[in-house]
Amino acid sequence: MAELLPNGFLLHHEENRAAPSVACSLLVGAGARDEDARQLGLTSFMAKMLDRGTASRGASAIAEAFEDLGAVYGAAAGLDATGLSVQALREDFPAALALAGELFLGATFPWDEIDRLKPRVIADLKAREDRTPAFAMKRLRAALFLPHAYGRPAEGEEETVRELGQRDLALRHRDHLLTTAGTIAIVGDIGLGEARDLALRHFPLSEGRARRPAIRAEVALAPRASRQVLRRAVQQGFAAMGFVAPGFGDADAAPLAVAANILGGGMSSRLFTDLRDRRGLAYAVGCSTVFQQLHGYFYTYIGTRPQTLEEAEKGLWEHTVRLREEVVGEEDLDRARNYLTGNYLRAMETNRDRAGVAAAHLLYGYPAEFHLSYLEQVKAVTSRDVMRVANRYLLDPCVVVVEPESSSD
Amino acid sequence: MTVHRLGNNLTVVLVPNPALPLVTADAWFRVGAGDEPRHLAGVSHYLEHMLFKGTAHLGPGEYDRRIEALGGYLNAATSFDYTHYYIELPSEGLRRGLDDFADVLRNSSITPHEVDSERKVILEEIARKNDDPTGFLYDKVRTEAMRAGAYSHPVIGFEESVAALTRDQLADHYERFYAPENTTLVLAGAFDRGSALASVEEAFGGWSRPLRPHRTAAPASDFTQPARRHYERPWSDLYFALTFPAPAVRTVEEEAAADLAGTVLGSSRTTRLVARLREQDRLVSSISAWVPTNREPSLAYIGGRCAAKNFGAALDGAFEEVAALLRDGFRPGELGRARRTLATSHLLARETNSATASIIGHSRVLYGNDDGFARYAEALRACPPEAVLAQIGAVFRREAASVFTTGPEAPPDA
Repeated sequence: MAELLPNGFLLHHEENRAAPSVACSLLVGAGARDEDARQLGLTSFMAKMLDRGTASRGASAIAEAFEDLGAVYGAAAGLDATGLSVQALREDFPAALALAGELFLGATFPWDEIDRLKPRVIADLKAREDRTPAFAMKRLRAALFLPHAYGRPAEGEEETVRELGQRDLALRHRDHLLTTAGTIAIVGDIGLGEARDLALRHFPLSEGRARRPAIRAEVALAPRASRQVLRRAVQQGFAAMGFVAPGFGDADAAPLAVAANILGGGMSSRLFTDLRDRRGLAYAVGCSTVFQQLHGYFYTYIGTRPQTLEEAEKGLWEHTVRLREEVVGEEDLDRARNYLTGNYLRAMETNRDRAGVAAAHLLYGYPAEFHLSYLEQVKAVTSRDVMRVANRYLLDPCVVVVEPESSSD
Repeated sequence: MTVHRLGNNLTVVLVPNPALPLVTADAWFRVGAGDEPRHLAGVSHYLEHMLFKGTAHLGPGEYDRRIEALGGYLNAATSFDYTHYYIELPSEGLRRGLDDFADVLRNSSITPHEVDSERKVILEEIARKNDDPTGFLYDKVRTEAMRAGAYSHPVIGFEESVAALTRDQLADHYERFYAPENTTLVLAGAFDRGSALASVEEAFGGWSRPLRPHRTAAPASDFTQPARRHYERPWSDLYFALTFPAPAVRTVEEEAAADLAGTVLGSSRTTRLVARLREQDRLVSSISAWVPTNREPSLAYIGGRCAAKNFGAALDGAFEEVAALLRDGFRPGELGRARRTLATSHLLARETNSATASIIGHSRVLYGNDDGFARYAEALRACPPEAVLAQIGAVFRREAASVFTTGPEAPPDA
């Protein structure tokens, strides 16, 4: 049961004495999606800058302090939330969390560190485009969601990141990270009393915390079918096909996830057995769902040689249509449901996994153990449910095709 | 953890972990690309694909379907020194899963039709790798920096070798290496020891096949003279790999020294190359150092990404840092942090059944014992600073470095 702490954070604690470590995940409901479009990447850059300086420590001293503790620290911003995570062996966890608290509250965003990090963030943004799947998926999300903020990359674009300055970061930190409602999940070899004390001591109340939900300037979604063909100097072509889906916690999420697993989850899914095993079209082929806080998406993808790109794209589409038109057999359905629930369990093996999942569930307004009821929903999905959601959501595809330029050889 | 040896010489390691009702079964075969004659380049990896294509009892795709219907996940990986296959299951499915798992490992059909069909998939896998800057560069480097020896071709093979491999060559490789005495089966997770061992005995006990490697000893690793090559590709930046001949690793003590050498030199923000070239001089956007843990001499790397115009200065800076470390020794806390980082990540990894099984399987393949699991943290603590410095000094020598780059333009002085 989550507990609202006097500092405004909702706390989840789970004691697990099986492993000698403790993990903390802290999430705040301010992500990249409420950024000004001219400052894309601001929240992500701010999160990356948290461990680059406080009033009493420089960037190197902070990194050394975490390493001296053998602690693993990370901070990142997605579209819906910004978070930091700390994991350490049991005896080092209190000191590691104290240091994380110091960064969270007292990051100073030094100029020289901004100048140091910015070119690297920009280089990383460009390097991401070097890989065809990432290149295509970024454009697919844009096609699905723009002008909604879900169509924008949380890490920003080169032009917007280049313009970010110290004042932008400090304001984002003060007005969003420190004052937006948040959750803390602490999982591992630690009792509730100590977890609560640490969460209160190292993340004291900031004025306004929990009283101010993030301000969202929502843009209505207007999904429509589209098809883009992009040419790149690569050997292998790639096709990605996506559909807008409901957000996290929606009653249709479970049937859509089952549909995705029938289509392309695992080695016995339809896309894998037909397009890879039977026709030898691809090494990488699959289907998945992403359920963000407000809206999600359902997508299929395949990487294939240029000569078979058309056949591969057609295959993705035909299998999707089949979900709408044919009742799924019990065996297919059962396999997909079991595969999905097994994967869910496996994704909860470590203290870190469990803390991250619990913090996200609480932040979105669900119980920390929401996954248990979600798995019940998955088990209850019928073939009629699959056909219903397929006919509701899998209608107007956004397609991104990457064609190799002939000069790439 | 308990270790058992079945009558057919299969090694079975049981690691109970009752935290969640899950279990991983992971079979490690002491065979990989390092065991392949050059004309069979890629055969171990190709065979790994073929083991998912059916037996006399399980038609193509049936094994996948049955494991996934149990709520399981299955996959496999091939490296230079090993090939391993694993299933991760809800515990109640262990018995049924093990029977099918044993069937595909012991009785693969390797039919000509499936061999031809899978060839296209592997050629797609090669094409995919060639479109990835680091995948492309590191496979190129392998053939350019090593003339001969166990690791002188990429694990995946070459387009030409994969195109030419026959059904009989795959079957022969299978018959030679997929023998119980060449295999360690690790079970990690929630299970009853007695009944799990009985299930293993039932599934694997009747398996009998002699081990017949292609050769009795690995060919000597033969490194080319230091070379410099640039591969022009329109990536966003210059990707680089410096390679160095590195010694074999045959004990956990040598593994600890190798890991410490790579970690001290180039891993986190505080480490030598990162602190100097990325943080201080701002010459690179990423850099890391890595010392291999292979059972024969192999390649160590310093790799990363930078603007082409910075590459010359970054190269000089990297070797200045190595020289300073060898001349002045470690700074206060430097080696301790590397020890701590490695020990903690080793311990945290053991929270998952799959990583536990991997650490044990890797140790069995490399050392023939469980030291890599049981004694790794101790070996890190006990590794003297001089041993780490000696390792760095012996491996990261400028005069031994081959320099490989790929990007839209060659570095100015190349």
